[in-house]
Amino acid sequence: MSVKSIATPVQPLRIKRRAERRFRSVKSRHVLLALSVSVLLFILFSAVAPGWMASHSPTEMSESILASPSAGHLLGTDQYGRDIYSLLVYGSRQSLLIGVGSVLIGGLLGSVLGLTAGYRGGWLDSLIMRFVDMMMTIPGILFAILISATLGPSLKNMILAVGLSTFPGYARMMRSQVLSIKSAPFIDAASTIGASHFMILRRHIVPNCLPPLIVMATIGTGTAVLISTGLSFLGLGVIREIPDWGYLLSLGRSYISVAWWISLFPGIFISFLVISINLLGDELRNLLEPRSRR
Amino acid sequence: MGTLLKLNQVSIDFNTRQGPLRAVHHINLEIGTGEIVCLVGESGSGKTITSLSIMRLTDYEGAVISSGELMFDGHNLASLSQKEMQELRGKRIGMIFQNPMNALDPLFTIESQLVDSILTHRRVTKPEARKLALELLQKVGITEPEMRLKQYPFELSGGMLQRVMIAIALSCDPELLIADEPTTALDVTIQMQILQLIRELKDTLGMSVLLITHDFGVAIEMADRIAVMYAGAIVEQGPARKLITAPEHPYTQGLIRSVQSYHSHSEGLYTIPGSIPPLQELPTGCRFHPRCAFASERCRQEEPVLALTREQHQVACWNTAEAGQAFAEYATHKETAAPINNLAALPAEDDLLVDIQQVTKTFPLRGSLFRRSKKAVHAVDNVSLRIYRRETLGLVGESGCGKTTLGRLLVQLEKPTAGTITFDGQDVSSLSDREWKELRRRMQVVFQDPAGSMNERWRISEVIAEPLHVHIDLNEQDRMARVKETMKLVGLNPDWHTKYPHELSGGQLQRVCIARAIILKPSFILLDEAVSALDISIQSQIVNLLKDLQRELGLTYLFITHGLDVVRYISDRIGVMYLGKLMELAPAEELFTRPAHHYTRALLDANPSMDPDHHAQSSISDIELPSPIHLPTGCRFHTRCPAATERCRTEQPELREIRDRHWAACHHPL
Repeated sequence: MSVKSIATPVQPLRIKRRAERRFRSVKSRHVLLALSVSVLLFILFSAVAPGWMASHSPTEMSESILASPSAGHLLGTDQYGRDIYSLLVYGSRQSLLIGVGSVLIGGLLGSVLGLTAGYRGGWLDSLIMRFVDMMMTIPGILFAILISATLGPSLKNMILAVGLSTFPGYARMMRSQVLSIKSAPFIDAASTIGASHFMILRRHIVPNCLPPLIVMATIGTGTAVLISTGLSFLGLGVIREIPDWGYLLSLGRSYISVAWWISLFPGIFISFLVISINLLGDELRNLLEPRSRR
Repeated sequence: MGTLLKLNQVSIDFNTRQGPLRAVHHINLEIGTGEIVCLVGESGSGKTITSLSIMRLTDYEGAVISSGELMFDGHNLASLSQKEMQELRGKRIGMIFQNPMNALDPLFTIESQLVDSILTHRRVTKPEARKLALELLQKVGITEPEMRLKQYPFELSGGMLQRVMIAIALSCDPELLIADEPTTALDVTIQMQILQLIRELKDTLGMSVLLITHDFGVAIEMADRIAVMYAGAIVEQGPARKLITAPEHPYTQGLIRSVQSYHSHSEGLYTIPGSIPPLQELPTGCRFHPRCAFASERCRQEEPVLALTREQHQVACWNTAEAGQAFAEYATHKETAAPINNLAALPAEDDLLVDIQQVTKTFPLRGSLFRRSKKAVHAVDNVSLRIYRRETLGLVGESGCGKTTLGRLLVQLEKPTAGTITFDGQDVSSLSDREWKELRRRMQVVFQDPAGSMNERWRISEVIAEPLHVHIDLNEQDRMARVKETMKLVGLNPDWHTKYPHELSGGQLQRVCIARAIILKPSFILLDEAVSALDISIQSQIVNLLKDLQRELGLTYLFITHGLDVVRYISDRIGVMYLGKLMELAPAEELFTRPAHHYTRALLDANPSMDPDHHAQSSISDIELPSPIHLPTGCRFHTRCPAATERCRTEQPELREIRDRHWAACHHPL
């Protein structure tokens, strides 16, 4: 064993590097956050006021069919000569509605079920959770297909389908969260004070369940867009004059060898939306930690 | 005696986002061959990180040894690579940790974990290693070692697991054993056995031991030399006996006086004002000066270094002369514990507040889907107990004795399986929801873990005001006034009401919990290990506060704890529980001076005292606590009792009054 010269202040290199890396990662986290916020703002603006953001009318057919990206058509045109960029801008409203709407439905339903099962316990817990398990065995996309197919393709049904296929996850998560919080000493403390069940739920349990729920919901928004994309791709989506992103992606399929841009850019938009929402969700969770509040 | 380990001016920094944070500052510490050195300090004093630095495990905690050298047998541990350290770890330096339940992998048998550690460091074959493992288990005093080898960690009790940990640490005959709070998670009777084992092993194997503890009692039991740490620096070190009888640093003096004052009968406990400063806010000059009674201008400006004051005794203080004199004066005037065995001084037993009659609580064990389990844990078994108004009833016992369950039954966090509980004349189980809510106002609880017992998302004012929200309709202004008034009453700065729990220290948080408990002006408070998690200097502050509040508000306490010193000081009467049964019930002083039950005697004997001439001992048979599922027949204690007879094995003794107000459940009382 070699013994190096003594009494030199030691600074293990590896540790130092690790510290540097951590510092750098803090910086890059901020950059990523700024990027994802701008992406989301862009999509949000597009959804609210597409007229301001688009370069062309989404229904306007130009003479250049299947034109590759150029100064005139930023992201190229499709087989009817429509501007892809403008189609994406106009389609964002639908994609966003599906994402947010289905998370609201799935998250709300799942949370209420999970909360009830976890807090009440006993036979009701078993009943609810077996139902949730049953729903979980059906693949989400299959379930969504089932609903879309039976209720017919419309925006409302699409939201319903995606929402219902995602609620079991929320229910499971909420239940386990409630169970762990329920055993915390401060719940005992609250009940020895005389607080009612409603009070304990409202003031202690729900607020403490929110952080993971918010993270899951943000991630869920991305997933919902993906599922709806899948449905549209299968032809079970909303068929309208202006296609949503998923449908646009599927439309480009037939021309993939001659006009890759029709499919590629919707794909990139979907990925950006999903990644941005996920990053934002992470950040939101950090903000909700009470320790980081001051 | 040669020096085995020498820490020379060692400083340890944590890398934080705000830059390096100094956790340990220029410490010097020497451990000789075959010597036990105790590092004593309160939480946050840096004792654990010091021990980790010797193993260079600090590297994995994001800390760096920023200066100084750790000389171990000629090697500077600070400059070795992790790979070279691996050669030393386990082989020449062994380590055991606080919680043996977490230190072993639950997925592997004792044998495979022990054999693994032998094979890592020794060139032996597997069968040889297995034989060595067996010998090791015998060496650490484990009964039926062949059977234990085949078992998994969950099948062994805490005391046995700690023995296994010691066996693993010993597997390569280390020259140095580092024990970080090895007995803190264990019961007091088991603690004694483990400490005795460590001492015996030191004697037979001639190894050195660095024992880290917060408990002066343990240090006095074990140490050849003691080093006292405060806020990252060693403030005093020297031979154990002299350090205890004539400490020179005001902090050491304060700690020793706090502990000793539990045995006095003075009005209040001796306390050191304030609390340990966080590392980010260390004061200038001497780090202890804001809490020191002898602080001078020099202490505020200049940091004292360890200096030799007498043979082998080092102190870091500018005013040792003054401080030493003050302590000598205290020591001569110290009350020679005149026990007030005066039963008349006890609160009158005519004003009954709580009446627990033949209460039993069993928790059925879950069987599998196809087989209903008939087994059950008997947490509380046929216990009757009365609590009178304005008294403090202490309830002591080792873990699993049912004391906490009894408390929870009393405040209806659990429903009793049988028996009745009457509070102020009302049978609590027969109350309607509304009547029960009214009753809740008058009985409150303070739990062990102050941080856990409040919602960390709430501000302090919201936490304290929670009972008001539930019970009293007040406007915001009146509510705040009441909160601030209560905060003042428990010694909290009312301006802190906007803070969040994580901004306060443990002692302050416990004050918040007490404030929440008294804001409705209850008549009864259940204190469930309410001071057990606190450091000595903070603990005595809280105990004083509880006593003051009791006097001012006329409160009745049920004080549940495993800490014998605290319960003796605070209680009027004490009940001793063992495996769900009440074994003995007597006035506090009577119980401590003339225990009647053999179990009580064993508990008292095992309790480390502050007297260096009096060694704690284990008068209990070396057998593990029986499981609460398969209870012994007859007297529950007979399996471990030194005086057990045939009658004890068959006939369960009833609780009977053997002396005035002194009850014991024993066939052969002392």
